[in-house]
Amino acid sequence: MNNTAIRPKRWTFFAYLIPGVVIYAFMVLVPLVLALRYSFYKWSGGPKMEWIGLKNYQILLQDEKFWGAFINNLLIVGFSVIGQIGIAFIIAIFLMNKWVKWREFHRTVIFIPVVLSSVVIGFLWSMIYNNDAGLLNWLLTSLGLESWIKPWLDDPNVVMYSVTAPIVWQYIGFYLIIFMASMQSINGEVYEMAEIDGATGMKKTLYITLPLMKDTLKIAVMLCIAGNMKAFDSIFVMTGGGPGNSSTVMAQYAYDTSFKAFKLGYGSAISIGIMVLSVGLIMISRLIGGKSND
Amino acid sequence: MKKGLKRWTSMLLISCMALVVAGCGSSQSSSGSGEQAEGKKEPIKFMHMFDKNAEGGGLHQAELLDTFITENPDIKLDQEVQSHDNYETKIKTLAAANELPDVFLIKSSMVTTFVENGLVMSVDELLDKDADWKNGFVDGALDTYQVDGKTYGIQFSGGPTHAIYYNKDLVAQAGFNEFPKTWDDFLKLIDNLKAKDITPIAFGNKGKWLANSSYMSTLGDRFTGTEWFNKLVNNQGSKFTDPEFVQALTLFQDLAKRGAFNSDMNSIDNNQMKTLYYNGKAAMFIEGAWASNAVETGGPKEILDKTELAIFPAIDGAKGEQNGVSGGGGWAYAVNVNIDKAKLDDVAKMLKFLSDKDAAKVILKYGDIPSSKVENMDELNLSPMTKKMVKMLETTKYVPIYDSRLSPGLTESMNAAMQDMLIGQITPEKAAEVMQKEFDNEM
Repeated sequence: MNNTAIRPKRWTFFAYLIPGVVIYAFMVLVPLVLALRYSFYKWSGGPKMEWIGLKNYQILLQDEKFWGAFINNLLIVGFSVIGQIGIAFIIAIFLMNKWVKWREFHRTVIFIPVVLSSVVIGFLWSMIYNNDAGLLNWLLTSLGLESWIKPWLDDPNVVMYSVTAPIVWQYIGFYLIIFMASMQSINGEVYEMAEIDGATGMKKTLYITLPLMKDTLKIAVMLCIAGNMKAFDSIFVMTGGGPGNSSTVMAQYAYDTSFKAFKLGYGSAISIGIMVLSVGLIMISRLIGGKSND
Repeated sequence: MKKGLKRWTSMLLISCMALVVAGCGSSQSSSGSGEQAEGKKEPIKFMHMFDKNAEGGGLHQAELLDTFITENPDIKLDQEVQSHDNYETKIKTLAAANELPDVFLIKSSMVTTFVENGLVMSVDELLDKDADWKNGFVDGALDTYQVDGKTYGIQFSGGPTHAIYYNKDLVAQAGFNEFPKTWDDFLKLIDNLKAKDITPIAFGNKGKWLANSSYMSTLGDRFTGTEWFNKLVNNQGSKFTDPEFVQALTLFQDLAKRGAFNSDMNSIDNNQMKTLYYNGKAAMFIEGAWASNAVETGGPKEILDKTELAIFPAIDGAKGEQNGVSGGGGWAYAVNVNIDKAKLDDVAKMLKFLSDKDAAKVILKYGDIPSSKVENMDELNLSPMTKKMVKMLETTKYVPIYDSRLSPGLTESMNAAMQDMLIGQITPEKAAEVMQKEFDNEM
């Protein structure tokens, strides 16, 4: 590379980087370090802090509620990886076909929920699930399926599926955009060559589109795991973690512990726990995804 | 030109920052018109949460305070007004740093901690000087602020957290022209209503506190008696696993099992549950005194006209007092132990003005239940719901509100355990164990 003529000086680079780094440090790194520090204390918000070492973590490892919440998160992650990424992929393939009309329109409509605030999504869906006036029960009734009607957000056996559905629905558009961009960047000549060799629709998808999108898919899975390990807002609006703890996710548990029970030390320990588990899960997914590629 | 722009930008930024910093605490210093009239008096530092421009409770205190300032130009106040949610955080922080203002508000659950740390002075000294003021309080209104026989808080308003709002037409349709007087009849009423396809009690427990505050605090005391609770908070042997308390939990779970509540009770909140009642789909709902204002302003006229008030009927075989209703707690005025003694007379004058029987009339006007007795109430132009509420309270006795007296951590675990219990996930015995375990952890 011989473009040093227009390359700015070294310090200019740093000067431009500083605002971003400073904001990042104060918004992410400093709170993280503080949370780590608080997690070693018994602390209820005032200046009185009692150092208790690793006791919070000891309790955390045996905390049924925390692990129950972790299972709930895993359920959401599982459904989201299959639901969000799977459905988005299928829709993306459809939309890439030449015969599809109004491509932009479809894409925009599917993308709208991503833009909406999760609180709005939560309210919308709690109206859909509403017992008396809800859209879902009305639909079931008009189809003659009254026996399928359930207290969607009140039955502890159903509630997790009920709160996962909106999350899956909301983010399909997000992955759709990523996939469509990635598909558009695949060189059209590859498809032409394959067509000459006799590859048809399904085969083109399996043997050309999928392998060439592998890196995009891996990133999508990672985003999906990271996003759903911190799932909170729409569930908070719909059920508040209830009934009991049956729809409590880890972030909700951390919130309840810190700001309702005022155990800020233990709440910090839970937050650190969430981070460790999330990073762990992402590492595992990378191991699985990376093996065949490299 | 360039330089000028830069300077302007930086000045703009700095002033923005200054504005933000200034905006953080709205400190509002106000004093009477007759400044320096009485020599150099130090102002009384007073932190509270009564903002006359804000919606919600406490408007009566803001009005009273305004009147007090106009009537007493010689008393200087240095007020700091916080929003309700910020207030609690701030007062705890100030307490820990030992920088409390002269007069402030505390909640009954804070009293013990504040007294142990030597932060508040006993207000008996102020009350004893004025018998009229002291004897004007409703019986038991100040009990929740007592530690070792000394009072530390002066309450101004505190209604019950339990009241049954019922639609008298629907109850009559179910065969009861009067609200049931015994628990068996109450259960019969529930069954009859269910048979008519009317939800007996609209219950919105999504926030989880309603079951504890408006149901269990009253039900529990009916079985255990108040003595049990006092022993519990002082850790003198009462346990959640005691048979009486478990009986109360069982009774509560039985209500749910019997189908007394709407099936979506855990996914709707206390506002949505009122909608069920307003639609005439539910015959009753149970909430605190604050809901009467909501029914008056938010409910349809025909429902409002049919609404009557009751409390849980007497329970056979329960050993507590059967006219007990959870209530009375909440915020109260407290005085800093380090206050300059010269200010005490003015402080007493102010607190009396905010809480005595004349203040009570203003409080009633806003639909709240005052802590002082009101004379000649018929002369006051009160709303029908407020009148009914006051009348109902003539025959009841306040018992402790669990979630305002117990620690936030314990309350949180009680709330969750009760929700689990009401949907049949755990037995009442197990719920009691969960509560006791959290209690032991904290002690």
